[in-house]
Amino acid sequence: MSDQQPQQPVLDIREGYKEKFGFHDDIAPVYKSRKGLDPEVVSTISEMKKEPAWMREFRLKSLEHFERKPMPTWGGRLSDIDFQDIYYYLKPVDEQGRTWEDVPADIKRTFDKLGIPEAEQKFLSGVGAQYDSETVYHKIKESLSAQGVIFLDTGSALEQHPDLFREHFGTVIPPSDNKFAALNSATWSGGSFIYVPKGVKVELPLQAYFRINAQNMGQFERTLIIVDEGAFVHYVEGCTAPIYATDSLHAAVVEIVVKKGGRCRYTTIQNWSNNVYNLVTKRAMAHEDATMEWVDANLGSKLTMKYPSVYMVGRGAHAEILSIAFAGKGQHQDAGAKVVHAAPDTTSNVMSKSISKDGGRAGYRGLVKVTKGSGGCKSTVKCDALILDEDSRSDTYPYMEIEEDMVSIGHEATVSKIGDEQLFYLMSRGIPEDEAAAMVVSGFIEPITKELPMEYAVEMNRLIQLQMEGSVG
Amino acid sequence: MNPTETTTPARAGAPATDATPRLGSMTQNDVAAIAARGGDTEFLAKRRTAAWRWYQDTPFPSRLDELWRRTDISKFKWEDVIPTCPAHPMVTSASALPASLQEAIGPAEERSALLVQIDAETVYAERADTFAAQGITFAPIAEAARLQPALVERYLGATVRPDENRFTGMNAALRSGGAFLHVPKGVRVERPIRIVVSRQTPNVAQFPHIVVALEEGAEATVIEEYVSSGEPGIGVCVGVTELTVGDAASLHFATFQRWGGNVYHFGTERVRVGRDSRFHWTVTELGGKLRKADFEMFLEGEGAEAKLSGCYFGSETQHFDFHTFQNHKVGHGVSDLLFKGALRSRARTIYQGLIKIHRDAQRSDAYQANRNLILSNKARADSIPSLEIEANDVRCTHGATVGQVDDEQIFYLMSRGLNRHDAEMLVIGGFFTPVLDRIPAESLRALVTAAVERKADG
Repeated sequence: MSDQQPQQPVLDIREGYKEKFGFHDDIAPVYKSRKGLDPEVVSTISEMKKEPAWMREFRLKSLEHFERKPMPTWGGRLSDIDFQDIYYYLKPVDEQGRTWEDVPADIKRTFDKLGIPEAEQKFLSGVGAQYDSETVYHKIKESLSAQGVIFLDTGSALEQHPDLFREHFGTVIPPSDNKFAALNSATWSGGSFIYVPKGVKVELPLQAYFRINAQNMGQFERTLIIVDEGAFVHYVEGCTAPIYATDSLHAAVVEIVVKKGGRCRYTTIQNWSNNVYNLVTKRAMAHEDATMEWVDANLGSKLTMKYPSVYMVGRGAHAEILSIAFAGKGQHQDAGAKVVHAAPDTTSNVMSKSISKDGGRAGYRGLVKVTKGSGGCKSTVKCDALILDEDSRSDTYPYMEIEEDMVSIGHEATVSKIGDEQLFYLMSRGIPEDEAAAMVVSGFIEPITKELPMEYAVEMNRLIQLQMEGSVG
Repeated sequence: MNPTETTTPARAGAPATDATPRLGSMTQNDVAAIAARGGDTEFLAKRRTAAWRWYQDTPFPSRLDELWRRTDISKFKWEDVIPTCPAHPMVTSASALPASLQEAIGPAEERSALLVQIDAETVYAERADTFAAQGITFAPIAEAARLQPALVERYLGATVRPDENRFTGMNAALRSGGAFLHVPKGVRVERPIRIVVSRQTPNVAQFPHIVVALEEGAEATVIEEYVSSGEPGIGVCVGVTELTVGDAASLHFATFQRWGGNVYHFGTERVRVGRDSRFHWTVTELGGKLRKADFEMFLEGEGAEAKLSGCYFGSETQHFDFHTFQNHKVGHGVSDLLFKGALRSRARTIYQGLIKIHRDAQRSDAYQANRNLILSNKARADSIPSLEIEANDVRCTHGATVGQVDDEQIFYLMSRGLNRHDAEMLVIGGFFTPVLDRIPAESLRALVTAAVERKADG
């Protein structure tokens, strides 16, 4: 279709919110350091946070790596990012500085229309410090600490559990890993720290919402999760409501260590507003008989480059990665997964579902690597892509590097459009076309949504419906 | 069948060894000398000169290039490569060719034409009596350019341009031997046409350029074969193969590579297929020390059908790096690719494939599969099957597997009284059968099957 032809009016999810709910954020932050990045800014961040000397050194070294590393030449278009035009540190909002009363009325209205509970509204609008979590989650917190579970924001964990922190921090993702991991290592601020002691199984999913006195989800948040032997935790980050960010670059690092026989599930629902570059490094180290599961759904942002990975370093470790990428107008979702079989008898399963629409570009980029000496490995990768119109694009780039003979590695992918027959059937039952299409899409991602906590799954389907509204003609 | 009445000028026959310029010290004049010696027309000589300049100004691909990330040629001593070699005398009958090539060229009744290149020269050409009446052109490039200048100017470089990268530039500047085949509209060539590229002089490089063009409705089967038995020193081959399949034409093209273990072979091979045409490519890759090859199929006319069936078997320290490209530029096309390989000892293979469906190529149907059988824990197989889809009304599927010989199959066969070795041979044979069965010409199929079996046997 040429550009001259009239375009189908498109309802973008975030535009939709804007039009329907007038959602935007004009709030000026209370304090910002100066723009740009140099050793002085990095030192200032460390000083403001009253960090130990080793962390300051770590940050400065990371800055060197950041400056040395080239920008990736693959994936999405990164050339518009201006690293010198970014505030690298926002002083946490003063306790008295910002209250619920200060939040603009229109934002409150938006949350009301989305039906988000007031407690969570407060968190989302950045008044987390006043967020009355004590009363709501008091019991949960009590039972967690009784079991020895540590759940803090990362900065506090460095202060309160320096040894445990230092033992694991930066061991899964070294600063030299890639340019954005280096950037995060130099400038990190906020994020979650979780430690689950031996044998403890945390029954309820832990969510970023629960964090006590947590900073808001930041640009350069840093999360570290340690699941000790035989323990279990499920962590959920993000939410289905669009997170409006004035900062256009989000470069998080998430490190996870799952020790012998432990299991960790990490669920992400990413719905940044579509001015955001979301360049995140997520990696887990799975030891003997440990299981690591990533459930990663990407709906928002302008460009996401994120490939949750699992390094299986102990015999019998298992990795499970489920990925959804939905790219609408102006969006590029370069999602994927990485599994490294570095020990014998390790197994992995990757399932990716990507959907592109209104000129969006969604893809899967993945790696399956089996190192020498890791016999008996099995890996299955399955990617399905749905392209909803002729302006959109789907990419699949799976890499397989196999250095061992006693293995069974498989990859499969299909790309298709919504089946005419499925649509015809639903429409013959009296369902309007756009609803029918939304149903087909919901069915397409169902194998993954069914793995989400129930309320997220419900909201996810609601989001898909919103995305699909008025999309078929 | 006629031995060729070749018009190739008499050769100087200077036994060039130390006096022969190496690639590192070559000048424009040396290129002009190659043109004169090869009997280039003015058109060809100009093309060489332009390509030489391009080659001089263009760096080799580095490991930053996605397609070169896994093959490191930075240590290869290009400056020592000898691009020309002493003339070989033309032979007047196939039986006068070296004994080692007799098997390769197969029985006379299984071919309609044959060109044999040894080192940098064409040494033998024959074509069926009917070719003249049918208007078929089949000759080394320089000769074809004298006989049919318009055709050569139209098809030479039409599919693979000299200025694509340093290798295509090198091939165009230093071209030696090669073949030009043109089949006019509606003409059907009954038996396979064979092109054999061989070598015997140590350290000499070859730059074969094979051009095949089928006009509308034409039909042909063409076999290109690269064969040697491992002379001392190293061998270098930088090749370009460009194929054009006209509307409603049908071409079966077979590539069979079984160099000795000393050869470095870099090849760019591409086909453009027209409206409602049929193209089938059978690729067999067994030999060489390092082989880097692009096999690319561009679907340029609606309703085109392109199929590639490939098999490779790496052993010792062989390094194979294959790239396939199914490029759907227009709609209603079908492409189907099956690339199967086995690896033994320390072999390293890379398969990198791409299906690209352009924005306007609606109703395309594309399939791509890569299957690897690893027979040793020191071997390494990389597989990267990719999709880039810009149209929505399409069907694209791909799959890749890397695995070992299935224990259950071995167990079953052994329970029927086979020993482990024979059982394994049977399973490996079965793995390749679907691909080998598609090879044209019975003698070639038998030859390939035997060669695969020998490799399987270690």
